[in-house]
Amino acid sequence: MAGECTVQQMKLRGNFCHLTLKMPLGFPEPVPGQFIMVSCCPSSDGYLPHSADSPDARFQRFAMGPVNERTTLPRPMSIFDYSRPAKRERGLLTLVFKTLGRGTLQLSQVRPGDQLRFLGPLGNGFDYQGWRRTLLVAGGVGFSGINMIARRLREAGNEPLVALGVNTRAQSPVQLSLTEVPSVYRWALPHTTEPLKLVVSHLFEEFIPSIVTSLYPGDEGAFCGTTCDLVEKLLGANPSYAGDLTLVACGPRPMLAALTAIARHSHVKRYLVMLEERMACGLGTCLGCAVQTREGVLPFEEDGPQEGPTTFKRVCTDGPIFNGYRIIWERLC
Amino acid sequence: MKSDKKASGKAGQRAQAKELLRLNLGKLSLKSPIVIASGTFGYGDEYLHVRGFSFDDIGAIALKGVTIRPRAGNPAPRIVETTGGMLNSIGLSNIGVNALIEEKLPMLQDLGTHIILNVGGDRPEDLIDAAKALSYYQNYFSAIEVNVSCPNLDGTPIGQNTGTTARVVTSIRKLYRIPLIVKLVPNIASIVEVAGVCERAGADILTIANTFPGMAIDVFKRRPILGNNTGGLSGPAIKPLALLLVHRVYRAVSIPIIASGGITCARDAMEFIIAGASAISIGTALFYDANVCKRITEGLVDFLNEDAKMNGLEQPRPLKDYVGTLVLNG
Ligand SMILES: Cc1cc2nc3c(=O)[nH]c(=O)nc-3n(C[C@H](O)[C@H](O)[C@H](O)COP(=O)(O)OP(=O)(O)OC[C@H]3O[C@@H](n4cnc5c(N)ncnc54)[C@H](O)[C@@H]3O)c2cc1C
Ligand SMILES: Cc1cc2nc3c(=O)[nH]c(=O)nc-3n(C[C@H](O)[C@H](O)[C@H](O)COP(=O)(O)O)c2cc1C
Ligand code: FES
Repeated sequence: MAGECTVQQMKLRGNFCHLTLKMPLGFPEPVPGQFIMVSCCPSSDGYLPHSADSPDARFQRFAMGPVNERTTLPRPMSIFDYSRPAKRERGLLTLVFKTLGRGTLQLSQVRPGDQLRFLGPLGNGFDYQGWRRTLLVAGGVGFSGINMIARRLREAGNEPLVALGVNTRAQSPVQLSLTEVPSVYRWALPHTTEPLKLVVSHLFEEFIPSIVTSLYPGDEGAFCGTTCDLVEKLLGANPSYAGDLTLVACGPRPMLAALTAIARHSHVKRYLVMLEERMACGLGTCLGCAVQTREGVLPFEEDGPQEGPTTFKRVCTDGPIFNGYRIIWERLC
Repeated sequence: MKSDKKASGKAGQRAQAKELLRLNLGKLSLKSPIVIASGTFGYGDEYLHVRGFSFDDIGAIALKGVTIRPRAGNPAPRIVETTGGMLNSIGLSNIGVNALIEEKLPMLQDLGTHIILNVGGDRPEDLIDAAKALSYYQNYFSAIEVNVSCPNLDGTPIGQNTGTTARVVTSIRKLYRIPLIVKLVPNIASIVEVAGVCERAGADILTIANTFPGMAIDVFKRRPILGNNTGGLSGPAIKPLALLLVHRVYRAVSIPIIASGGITCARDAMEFIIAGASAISIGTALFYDANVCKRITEGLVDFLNEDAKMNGLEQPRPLKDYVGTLVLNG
């Protein structure tokens, strides 16, 4: 769907923004893993695209284009959360993003009531029907890519283990505090030698339990190291888990690439990554977001990259979720 | 009842307003001056599924450029945003003529608008071969656009060389009954000369122009951002450059012009039309706002009404009366 949505709430937390948007009626319910393209439209500067024909509005309709709007391209953002609306109500969609450059900075300055232009939901969501044990790994703001799948899995009674990697706890995209380890996680935890404490992330009264890895040794309750260190440790201590494990990762590319190697030598059955690439159309038409993947049947994909035909896939329409074993990381990192 | 009447009155007004935008592009009659730029819309089918997107405001769609064989395209990243624009180095990644024929032809009719075939290629022979392979299917299309100006291929674009351009246009002319459009290179010593050569070689329409070659650098890595090092610049940043080219070519040739380069709103469109364009192409703006065509259509109608009022006319003049009405100073 292409249209405009209204900013309902905007919360800043350090470098991170939690942006809640009221979507128009008829907005299709997104599947976890999907994303939208957003951009500020001139209405944020006081322009209402479909307003009454005041001379002002008419002039702006005539003369306003992207050049006045500071960015030329919209920004792709994972759908962090979506609340299903009651009948005839408008759905609420949340984005969590990090302010980096021009586009995200501009998005971080919107206020409740502003209009944003959007296109979506886009991309293929997760097909999580057959998943059994699930380990969701997020690097930093990559958390926004896996929050919704974590929620849906939990609703379906398949509690996932969520590992969030941050530089320091203070730099987490979601609020963190300590609690007890729920029993559902014991499948992973008891065999580890490390005294792992679990950190629960609170987000506006809701929370998704997660192990937090922190690079800063002083962070209480956090596993000291990278997400890769954590995953290696979990899988090393419980080799049998890999057999029916679904490992999902979203975050910086070096992390995804390193996890690929770990997943491969631990024989993880299903390894999925959420990829990011620069996008223009989001619909598969411009071919701007192509990444190179390896094709053909890889005889159980743990055996390392085989020589074989490669092909370009579009992150927007063939992804953003890919079989991590098939991505040619050397070309991407 | 009363409100019903009002509604139908409004619809009637809207239909009437849209009539003002009807234009002739050579032999083609367009319901709107908006032509979707090649490479920014795929083969059109993706947009059929976008709720809220309307094909009503589109006069024609130029399909993604096809080459004789499928092309994988350039390494990532292929696009980068720059101030007021974007660079792309897609590298004419496309499905090739055979897949176009087998997979896309059947659904093109569903789009309900003129479809322009766009062909490309590294070497003149590749271009001619692609055109030849598709000539049998030309009835599916309203026109063929020959892209001699892709900045992302090996070597310099064909369109940099007047002699080669003439040869390509002459060869393809012989193969096609439908209108022949040539899409020119913008960064060339004399675009007027190439335009004239194309006209004499049998081109019916010119697209002015393709993207300008450019570059963006990652200062920390000290490497170009684009995987292919360079790319083509599009978007508002190139609008004044394209406008001047349209102005020059309009005064030198008598065939109609499709303006392409940085058009994002109705005012941009009017500038190009006044400079001499018979139609305007929308590419990069579509990425920012999928509904940009609707916005431009409404803006153009507003302009025609406003302009009529300012000139004391009872009826707005149709858009086609504005083509090439630029009056130079001095
Ligand atoms: C499917 C998808 C989902 C995403 N989800 C999130 C999310 O939930 N939260 C979040 O913080 N970020 C997310 N990102 C990354 C986000 O799109 C970029 O951080 C953002 O585009 C940066 O824009 P900017 O203007 O701040 O940066 P600039 O560097 O000024 O952007 C310049 C250009 O590069 C592009 N760009 C820069 N970094 C990235 C990147 N990592 N990925 C894609 N394009 C990039 C921009 O879109 C823009 O076109 C996602 C990306 C993709 C592809
Ligand atoms: C992503 C992208 C892909 C393009 N691919 C093609 C192409 O295949 N053939 C072609 O003739 N022009 C291609 N172009 C050029 C556009 O058709 C258009 O002429 C150019 O972008 C300038 O217009 P704009 O500023 O409105 O985008 C492409 C442009 C972009 C941005
Ligand atoms: S963003 Fe255009 S094809 Fe993916």
